[in-house]
Amino acid sequence: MIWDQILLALSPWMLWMALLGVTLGILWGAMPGLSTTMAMALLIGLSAGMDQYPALMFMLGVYTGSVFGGAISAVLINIPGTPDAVPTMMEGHPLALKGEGGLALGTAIAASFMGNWVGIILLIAFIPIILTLALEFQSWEMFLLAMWGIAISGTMSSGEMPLKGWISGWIGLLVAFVGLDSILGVPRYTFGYRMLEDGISYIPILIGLFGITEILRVLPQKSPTPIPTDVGRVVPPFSMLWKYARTAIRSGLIGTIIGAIPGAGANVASFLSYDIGKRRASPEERKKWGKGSYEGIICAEVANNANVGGSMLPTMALGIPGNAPAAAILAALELKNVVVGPMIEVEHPGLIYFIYIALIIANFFMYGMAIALIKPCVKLFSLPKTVLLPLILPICIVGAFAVSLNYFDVYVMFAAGIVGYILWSFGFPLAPMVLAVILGPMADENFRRALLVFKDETVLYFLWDRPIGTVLLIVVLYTFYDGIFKRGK
Amino acid sequence: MINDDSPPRQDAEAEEKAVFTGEENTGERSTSKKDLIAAGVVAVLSIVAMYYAWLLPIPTRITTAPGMLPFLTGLTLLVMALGLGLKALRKGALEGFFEGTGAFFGNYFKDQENRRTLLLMTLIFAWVVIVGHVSLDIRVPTPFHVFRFSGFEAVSIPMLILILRIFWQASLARCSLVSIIAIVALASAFRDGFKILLPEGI
Repeated sequence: MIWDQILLALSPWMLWMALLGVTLGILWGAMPGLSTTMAMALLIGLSAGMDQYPALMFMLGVYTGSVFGGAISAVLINIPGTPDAVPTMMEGHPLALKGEGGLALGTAIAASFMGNWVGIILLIAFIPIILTLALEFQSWEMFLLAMWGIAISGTMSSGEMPLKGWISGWIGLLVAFVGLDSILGVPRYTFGYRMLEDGISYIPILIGLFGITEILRVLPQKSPTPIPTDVGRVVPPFSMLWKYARTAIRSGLIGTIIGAIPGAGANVASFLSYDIGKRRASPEERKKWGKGSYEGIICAEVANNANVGGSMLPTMALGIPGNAPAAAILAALELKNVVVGPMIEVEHPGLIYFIYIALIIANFFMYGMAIALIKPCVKLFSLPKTVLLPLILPICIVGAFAVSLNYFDVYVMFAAGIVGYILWSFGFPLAPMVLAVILGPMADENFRRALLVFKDETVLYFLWDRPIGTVLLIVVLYTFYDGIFKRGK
Repeated sequence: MINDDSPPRQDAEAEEKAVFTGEENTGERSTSKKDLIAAGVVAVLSIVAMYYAWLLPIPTRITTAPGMLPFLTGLTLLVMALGLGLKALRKGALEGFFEGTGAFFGNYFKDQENRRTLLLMTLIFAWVVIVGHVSLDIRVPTPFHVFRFSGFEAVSIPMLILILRIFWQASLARCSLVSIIAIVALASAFRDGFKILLPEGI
């Protein structure tokens, strides 16, 4: 059965589908503000006309490609193509300004390749263990995980002033609460406007904060920072990759485990891995963090790519998508009347092997196409910023509109851009706000579900009854303690 | 945006102490006066958030009320704002605060970069609003393809020409050429390639 699937996946048509998906994914991911989720959601329509296996191959190619693609614009023009590329942007862009953009991207490609391998290997080998762990995460743990993600993001993005990072995150949480609440359907912060009842999508916010804000910040400058046209060497030396092998393995494990937890995706994985990497870096290496660290790029890119394999664990085994792009894979399969879940091996024998092989093929294509597309992307982004940034404006408008074909989202994007510019001017980081808008609904829903579950129990009981939750609670409290009493001193 | 006496944090100093300065390098733009203003605005925002959360109905229990987490978020945000404000006060934000604030607007508009930022904001706002109101659908059928020209292109081409002319400062012909090629290519890629509807007025 495995050989049948290998032969099927290696047929020319399947390889072409994988190549097309990866290429579109990389280009899409590289476009500022156009996220992996958006790529997956929009390209479902394209896969609808295909048969089951080519569609799956195509969608997995898009997924693999777009997760990496975000790194290209993050490194070259300081705008993350996807939210999980924010840590890559923080480390990669300073390197690009030093003329090491090629090596930074080469490191990101190698890290993505390694991350995908870690994710695939763990997907194949450790399904039972990771599933057992993932199944332990219930409402209380999911709430704490979301809060941890926001707290960590706030702590790491504003250094000595974690308070500012948390404020940015908490404002994002308030934005996330806008709309009908998911449990009782009560409108919150809608002020009578029906268009707000559906809530505020995070994609226009992301495009506004990282697209419009960047344009407002850079374009009016009298002499904007030039983008280096010569990116230098692309393929990183093996010795450098070997030096960070332990970091890569650790980040791969983090990315896969986070991916396996439903609701937590590449964003949490890359931020978490980045934060842990920074804490564990040698004092010498740590000085480079925030100013251009190859280790930082490896942490983020290995984790967000390992997340692809990790997110497929609950998707395939339980029918619960590990994250939003995995939900798009689920939707694409449902279009073909394929319902995945515990019965996948009985109802669709061999499909699980096809997915493994498709991910491996997509990973090889990602590596090749990413290297091939660097030079064209450098040429594209090497245009003067006074030309390039205005050209991004219509992409932002179309991108914000395309999420739900609702023009209100374009206004949201513009408002987010203005708010982002004001926050930036006052020294507030923007990344925690985006993360909070994404994780806010998850935090809210799970918090209230947890309180429903624990309604008749004492605090001591649920602390004892939910040991993983208790550990997470300690970690969240420690993150705040660390921010207030150590970093914020 | 506001000039005051408190010096920005120095990267070099941070490096010496091996202090983590933050990936978004927010310290560079931080001053105690700005922090005090920000703390005030955030405090007001948090109180408004708590007020509206308090007004929400409680259909079942208080612990599962829809306003529970928004209220707690507002409350913790207020505590954070107070923390930020106190920190700013300790750094001497009040020294010459009112004198400096009076001159703020004057100084802001004196800066050419700030004026250009405001101009850009206005242009983007105009672009967004006009696209949302202009509806147009011109179709040119050819044996191979039906070329379309919608409200998006009709508004975006002149708006992009205007922005390029102001900020790139190339000739009108070059700005027009870049604009037309970029918008038509983008519209074709999204409309014909990705099958995505383009934004325009109804």
